Amino acid sequence: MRPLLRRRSGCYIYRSSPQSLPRIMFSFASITICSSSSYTMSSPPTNRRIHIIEEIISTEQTFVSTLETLIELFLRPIEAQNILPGDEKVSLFGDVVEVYKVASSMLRSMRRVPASELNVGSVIDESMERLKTYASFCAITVDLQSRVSSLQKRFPSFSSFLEDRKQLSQCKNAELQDFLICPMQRLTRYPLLLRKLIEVTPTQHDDYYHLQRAMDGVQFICTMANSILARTSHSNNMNRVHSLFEKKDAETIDLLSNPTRCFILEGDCMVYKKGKQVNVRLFLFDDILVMGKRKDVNYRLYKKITLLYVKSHSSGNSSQMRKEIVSRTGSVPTTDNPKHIISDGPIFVKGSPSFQITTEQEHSLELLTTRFTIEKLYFTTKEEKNRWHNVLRRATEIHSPKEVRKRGNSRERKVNNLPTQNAMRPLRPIKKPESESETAKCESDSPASSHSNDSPILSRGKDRIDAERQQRLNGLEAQLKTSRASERALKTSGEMLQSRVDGLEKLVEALKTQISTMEEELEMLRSTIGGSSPATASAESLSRVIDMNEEAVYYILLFRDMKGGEL
Amino acid sequence: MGCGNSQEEVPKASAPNLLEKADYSESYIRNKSVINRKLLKVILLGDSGVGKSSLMNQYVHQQFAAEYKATIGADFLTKHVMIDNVPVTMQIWDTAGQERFQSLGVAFYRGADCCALVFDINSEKSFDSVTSWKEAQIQNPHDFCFVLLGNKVDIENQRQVLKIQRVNPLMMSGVQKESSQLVSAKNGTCVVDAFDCLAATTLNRDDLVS
Repeated sequence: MRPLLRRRSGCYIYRSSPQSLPRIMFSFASITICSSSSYTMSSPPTNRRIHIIEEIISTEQTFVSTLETLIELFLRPIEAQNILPGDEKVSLFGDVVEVYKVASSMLRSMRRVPASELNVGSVIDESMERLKTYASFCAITVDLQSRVSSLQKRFPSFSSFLEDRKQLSQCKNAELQDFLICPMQRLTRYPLLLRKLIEVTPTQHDDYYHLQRAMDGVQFICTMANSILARTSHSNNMNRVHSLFEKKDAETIDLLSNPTRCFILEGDCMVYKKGKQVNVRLFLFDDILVMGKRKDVNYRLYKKITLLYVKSHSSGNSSQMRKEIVSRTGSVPTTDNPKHIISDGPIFVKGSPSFQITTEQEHSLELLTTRFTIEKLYFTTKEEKNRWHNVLRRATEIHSPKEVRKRGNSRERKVNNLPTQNAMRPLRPIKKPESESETAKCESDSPASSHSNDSPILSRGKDRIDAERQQRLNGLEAQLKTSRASERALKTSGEMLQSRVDGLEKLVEALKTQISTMEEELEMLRSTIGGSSPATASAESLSRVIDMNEEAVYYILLFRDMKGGEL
Repeated sequence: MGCGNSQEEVPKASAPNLLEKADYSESYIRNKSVINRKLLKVILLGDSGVGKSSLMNQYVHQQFAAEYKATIGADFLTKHVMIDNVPVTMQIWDTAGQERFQSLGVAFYRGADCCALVFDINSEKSFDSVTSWKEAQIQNPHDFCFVLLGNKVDIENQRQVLKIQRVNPLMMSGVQKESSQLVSAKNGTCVVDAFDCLAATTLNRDDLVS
């Protein structure tokens, strides 16, 4: 009999067979329990607990059999038939056998006792060290798609092998790539499952403590995997763009010199050079825009543009824009603004309406350069143009790149403190719940930390409580440490911003002095003109005549227009 | 594949036989299925709790688990459909759990044909993050077909997001207007329609590209 409907009051409607009318039964247990608890708790927590535990076991089972499929249907035949050379095989499959061993041993422990008696928390907690394999395994998902396809091109036997596998019913329409991201998928599901389980586990439950530890642990591993991936893909991207350019040009661009540089976007566009159309590829980073012209397999540097923020003129036109650039580049010594030395040419002007001239036929963006030439980029579609406009504008906005970098930095810093390369270093001793070692809180804002704050209320021996308090204390201390580290990171980025602000203030000062000298000049000119010499008088009368003429012309034009309208 | 189920298997978290020892010695039978269908990979993106798994389940199994909702759905589900008389296998991927780990999700975007951005029409935040997801995550938007799915349309009275003028700007930037819909995973409103439409749009797009 399956409950069809559950009510808040704990009233269940059961239907014993499809034909019979629904009968209404009351579940007394849930009435007593849910009287003051939330909706999610309204079903007996033990039932929900068992449901979730069963879900964990069943999904673990599916995961293990998926890995079996991956190993039996892909890895073993490739090894047996020597389809791929050893190093390529390793880089493609990583340590999948180890992942399989971990998962299957966890599954075996889960099956040892019935679900109602199983302490999932302890099982996962005990395997925590070995679970770190998952994180390092995740690194193979970087550029997986392109790597598989390049392997397919290089090794025709591999390609035909994969084609052959597609036909197998066990693969369920999944390809090798899909199998390979499975451990990552599984890893990110653990926090979801454990969170649900913790919600329905009473604090005095034997497993509660282990569940918390398991939760912290898997979240930490997820974060670790995430940062491993982020770093791998970041350096891959940098190296890729670097190697795309010819050696000499790559040195000019000097991509890799700036460790905090972030890759943002790449895409194609067209420019016109001396009336000739040139196809260029754009590589946008958070501080530079590199334009490359295709030559054979590589690119030649067409232009490297340093992004610079120029205040947008809401009603501005190009001449106003020019004035601003004259004043800025003219009045500010280049040493004060090193960007100009590097840029040696174009700067991007944040989009004022006049700088996104687009007709229906052409989709172009204009970059104003310090040489007063306009670099016009033509895109194939409006969408593409808008996208680049948005991205470029964001990249040039003064704070955003810094903020991105700051975040990246602090994350990186955090990771650097943690064992990533030697991922097997113990995060904390296992099987020693009372240990006073550090509980590395991977994320202080995670829901887990809020859980860990309401510690078990009921006593399970004074020692245990004391030990837990000590541990919480240690955890808090670790949190404090990370907070301090992030404070330091914030400070340094604050200083960077401050220095930028200082630079800008200098600029403003320079502009002010320029304005005042101009005003003085103007005054001088006015005073010389202000004299009552016959020349000025005649000039005045002349200008009056000119004004009158202009007025006359205006009326004549107006009159003509009106006439035209009548006609 | 993960919890991959073909459409005939219904995921039952509480199925009792799962507790029995599985037959590990089971050898793989290599029977070749001759059907060569077009495969469409669809990924569901969105905040946690917007109902990605439920949508998937509603579409493939016509089920909504109000009684006991499994915490995680299947990693992906497949469904065989006919789109414009072309047999298509839809492979729908759930990204639950990866919302907070941006780099982890990237593996999905490569090789996917379509990306369904799911938001909860009762949560403005989920709508906003859909926009940022699209902008921040996908590096090469032209390889994808984007659709927007506003879920939980059954809860009408608290609707916050559904103002067409707010939805419009997002649609302008590369989302397929015609296949973006408001759906309900709970009662199934427009779900099948939305996914079929999404498949058709993706196919048409692929045809255009090729």
